[in-house]
Amino acid sequence: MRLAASDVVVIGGGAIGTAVAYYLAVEGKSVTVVERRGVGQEASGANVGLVTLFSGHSLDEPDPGPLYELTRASVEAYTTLGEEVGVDIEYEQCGGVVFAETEDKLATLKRAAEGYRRHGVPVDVLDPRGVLDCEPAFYSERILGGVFCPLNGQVNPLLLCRAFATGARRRGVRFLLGTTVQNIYHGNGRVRAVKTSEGDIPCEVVVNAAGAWAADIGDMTGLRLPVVPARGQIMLTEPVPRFIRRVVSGAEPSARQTRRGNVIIGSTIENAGFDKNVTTGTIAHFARGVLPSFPRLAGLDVIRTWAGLRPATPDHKPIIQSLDEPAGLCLAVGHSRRGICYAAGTGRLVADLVTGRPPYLPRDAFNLARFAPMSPAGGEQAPPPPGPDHIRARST
Amino acid sequence: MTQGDLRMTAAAERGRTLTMLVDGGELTAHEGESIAAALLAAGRRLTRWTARTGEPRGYFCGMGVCQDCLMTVDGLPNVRACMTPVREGLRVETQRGLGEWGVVP
Amino acid sequence: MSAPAPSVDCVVVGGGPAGLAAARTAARHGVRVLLIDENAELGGQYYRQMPAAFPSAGDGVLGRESVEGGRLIDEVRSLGVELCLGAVVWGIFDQRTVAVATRDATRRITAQALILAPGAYDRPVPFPGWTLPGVLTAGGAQNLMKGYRVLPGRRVLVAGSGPLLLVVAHYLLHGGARVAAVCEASAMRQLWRYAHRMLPHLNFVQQGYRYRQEIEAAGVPFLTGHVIRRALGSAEVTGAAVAPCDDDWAPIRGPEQSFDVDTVIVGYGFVSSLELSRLAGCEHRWEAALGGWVPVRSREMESTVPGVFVVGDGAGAAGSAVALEEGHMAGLAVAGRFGRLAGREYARAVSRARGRLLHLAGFRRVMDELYRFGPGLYTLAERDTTLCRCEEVTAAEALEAVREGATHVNEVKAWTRVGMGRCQGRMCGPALAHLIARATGRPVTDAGVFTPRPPAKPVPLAALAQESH
Repeated sequence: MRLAASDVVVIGGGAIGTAVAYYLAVEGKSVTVVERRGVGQEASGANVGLVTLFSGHSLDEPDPGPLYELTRASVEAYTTLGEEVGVDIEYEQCGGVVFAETEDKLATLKRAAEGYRRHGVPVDVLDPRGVLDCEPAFYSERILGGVFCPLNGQVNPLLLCRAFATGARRRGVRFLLGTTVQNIYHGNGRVRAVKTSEGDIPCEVVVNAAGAWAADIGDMTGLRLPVVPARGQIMLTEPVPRFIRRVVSGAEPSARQTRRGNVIIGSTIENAGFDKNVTTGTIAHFARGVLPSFPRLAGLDVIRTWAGLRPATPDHKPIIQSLDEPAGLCLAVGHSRRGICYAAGTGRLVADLVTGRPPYLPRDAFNLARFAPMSPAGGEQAPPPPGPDHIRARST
Repeated sequence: MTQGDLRMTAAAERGRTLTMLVDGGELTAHEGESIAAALLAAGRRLTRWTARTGEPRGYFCGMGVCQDCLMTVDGLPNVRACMTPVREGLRVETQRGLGEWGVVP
Repeated sequence: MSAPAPSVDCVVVGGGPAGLAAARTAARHGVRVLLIDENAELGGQYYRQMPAAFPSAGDGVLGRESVEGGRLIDEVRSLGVELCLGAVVWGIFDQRTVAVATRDATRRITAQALILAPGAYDRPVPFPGWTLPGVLTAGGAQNLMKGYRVLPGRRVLVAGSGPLLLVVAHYLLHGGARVAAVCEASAMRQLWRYAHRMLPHLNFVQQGYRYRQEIEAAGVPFLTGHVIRRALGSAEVTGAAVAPCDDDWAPIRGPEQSFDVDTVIVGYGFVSSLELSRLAGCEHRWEAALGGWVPVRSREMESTVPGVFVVGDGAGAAGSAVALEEGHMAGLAVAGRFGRLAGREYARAVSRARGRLLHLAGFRRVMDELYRFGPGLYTLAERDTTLCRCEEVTAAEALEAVREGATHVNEVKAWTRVGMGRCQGRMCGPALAHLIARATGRPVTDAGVFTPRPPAKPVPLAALAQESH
C-alpha cells in the first residue's frame, strides 16, 4: 500500500528523531517520523537527563571541538524550546561540578578546563573544599579537586521528546507510531521510499535515527554501522524537597534531583544485548555506592528502576552524516551516552545537511569513514562494552 | 464534622490506653491500633496536604497501597498511617507536601 | 555479589487465606515452607486479625471471619512453617529468586517452588471529589471496622457493586452509624433467572437476603442501577450525590440525588495485584468477566513459569472461599513436585479440590454475571477530576497527551507523570487504560500496562544497601 509521500522520512521517534523532524519542519520540509513503539520510549526516556557542556567527555576533546559545539547548540535550543513549543521541558542550568579522585584525572581535567576557558566557556578549577561547597549534599574523602561549569544542567528527557514531537506535529510532521520499517528502497544511486508495516512512503531523504537499532536499519542499504546496544540501569527515589542542587559528574553511581523532587541514581553501562531487565546486583550496587557520596539518601525509599539501551559506537561519538551513496541517506546515530546533550544540535546539523545549507559543523566531523571498514569476517567492530557483571566507573 | 469517639466497642475490649502527640496536641489511643485507626476514631480524617495543589487527603484504601495516608511520624515524612502502630509518645504530624526531611545524622 | 541464601523448598508470598492454605497444605505434607507477608500479623485482608494487644475479639458479629482465619493461622504456625512478617517482597529475579526487604536490610531467597498469593485491592474509580478525606474504599472500611472496631464516620453513603456493599452496610448499622443509602450499580434485573444456579449456594443467598432485610428495616434506601456521582466538600466530605446509570454503569446525565453525609464508601470490585506475577515473567490474559488482567494458570494453579504458582485474589478476585481452595490446590501440587504426595493419593486429593473449585466456580459465575463490571464507571471522571492521586494529574492532562499521540499507558505516563508516584500506578493504571481506550476507540487491552519493574513496592534505599542472610 502506498502512503502519501514526504520529503523526508525519519526512522526513530526518540530525542534524535523528533529533534531532526522538528528542525526539518522548521525549514519547511514535509516529514514523516516512523517509530515502532511510541515517542521517546527507548534510551531517550531512560537516561539521567544530564546536559553537560563540560564533563568527563570533555577530557576526550580538551580543545572544544565538534562535540562541544553539538552540546552548545543543544543548550542554546533548550533554553528557549519550552516556551517556543509550550511544553515545559524542566531544563535548568543549575551548574555542575566534575571532580577527580586521582592525580592523573585531575591533571586531565585542568588541561581541559584550560582549553575550555580559552574558548570562552566559563569554567572554574576548584580545590577539594571548593568541590564540596559547590554541592553540600555530596561528600567524598578522596577528592583531589574539580572543575565547576555554571552552564551544566539537567532536563526532563521525556518532556524534551514531547516538546520536539509536539513542535514537529504542529508544523505538519506526520507521526506513524506503532509502525515498523521493513526496508529502504533505493536504486540509481539514491533512496526512493521506505517500506513500513503500514505501507510505502516515497521520499527524497531517509534519516536513520534508530538508536540502538541503527545497525538493522543500516543493513537495509548494505551499510554496516558500528552501533551496539549498551544497557544503562537506573534507580529512582520518592520525591523529596530539593536538596541536591547541582549536577555532579564523576561519582559512581551519580545522583541528581528532578524538578518534582525524585532523585535519579545511576547509571550502568553494560553489554547485555537488547535485554532491558534491571538486575538485583545493580540495585544493590547503586544503593551501596550512592550512600557514601550522598548520605541524605539513606532515609528515602526507592520507588522505581528501569533500563535503557544506549546506541554505542567504538569511540562513543555519534555518526552524523549525509551520504553520497545512496544519495539522500542520512545518518544520525550512535549518540552513546550523550543523546540528550546532542539532540537539538544533531537536529540542527541534519537540517543543514538536508537543506544543503553550509552545516554549522565540518561536514566530516562525525563521519562513518573514521571507523575502519567493517566486513563480515574481521575488521573493526564496535567493541562491546564490558560484560553485565562489570559495571564501568566512567560517567559523563 | 463528626463528634465524639467512633470506636464501636467498649474500651475494656481494647489494648491499654496510651497518649500520642498529633500536631502538638495529645490524643488518646489504644495499644494495637494503627495511627489511622486512632485518628479516625477521633473523627480526624486529614492526613496530609498535597505538594502540587495543597489539597487535603486522608485514609482511602486502608491496606498500604494508595499512599494517601502519608504523615510525618517522629520527624520522618511519608509514613503510612494505616500501616503503622501507635506507641506511647509517638509524634504524628499532618504532612505538608513532600514533608520536612531534616539532615541525616 | 554474595550468593542468595540457601534455598527453602517453597516460598509463599502473602499471608491471606490463599497463602495460608497453600502453606498449610504444603507443610502438612512435609514441604519446608517460608511464608512472607508485609503486615506484622498474618491474615491478609479477609482474615484480618484484631490487634494482638486487644484482649478479646469483642462482639461475635464482626468476629466470624477473624475466628476462622485465626484457626488457620494457628495451624500454619503449629506446622512449623517459617514466617517472615513485616517484610516486603519487592522483586522476583531469575524466575524464582525472591528479593525481600525489611526496613533495614534485604535478602534474596531462591525457592524451588514459589506460590504467589498477593491478593487484590479495591478498584480505584476516579469521580469528582474522590480524593476528599472521608471518601474511602469498601476494603478500607472493612479493615477499619473488622480490624479495629472503628467506624469511618457517622453519616455514610455506600456505593459500589456486589454483596460486599451489604456486608459493609451491615457493619455500619451494627456500629451505630447512619447509612444514608446503599447504591448498587447493577440493575439487578430478573434475579429469578439465576435462581436455579444459586440453589447449590443457598447459604450465600440466605445471608444476602438477611442483609437486605436488615437495611430495609433500618430504613436505608437500596438503590439499584445507581452510581456515585460526586463527593462534596472542601476540607472533607460534607455531602454526596448519586445518579442513575446504564447497563455499562455509565452515569445517565440528568438529576442527581443528594445525601447529607460525612463519609462515602466506594466498592466497585477488586483489581488483582499483578506486580509480582509480572516480575516473575508469568503470562497474563485479559479476562473481561473479571474486568481485568489475570495470570494464565494450569488447573493446578501453576503459571506459565515452571514452579511459580499464583493463587487467590491475586489471580482474579473471586473471594475467600475460592482463595482457600486455590491455595490448597497449589499446596498439593507443590507437595507432588517434592514427591511428598504421589499416585492415587495425589490424584484423589487433587480431584477433591478440583471438585470444590468447580462448585465454587458456579457461584462465582453467577456473581460475575449479576455484578458484571461496567467500564462506563470510568466516565464519572470530569476534566478536572484527579486521575493520578500521587502526582495530582487530572483527566484532562492525560487526555491532552492522548490527543498528541500517546496511546499507551507508558507514553501517557512519560508525558504527564500519571503512574510515577509512590503508589506505582496502582490507583491510576486501570482508569488510565480506560481513558485511553475511550479516547482512541481501541480496546482497553491496547492501552497496555505500566512496564513491570522492581521494586514492586517502595523499599528503603538503606535496606537495599544492606544484604542479610
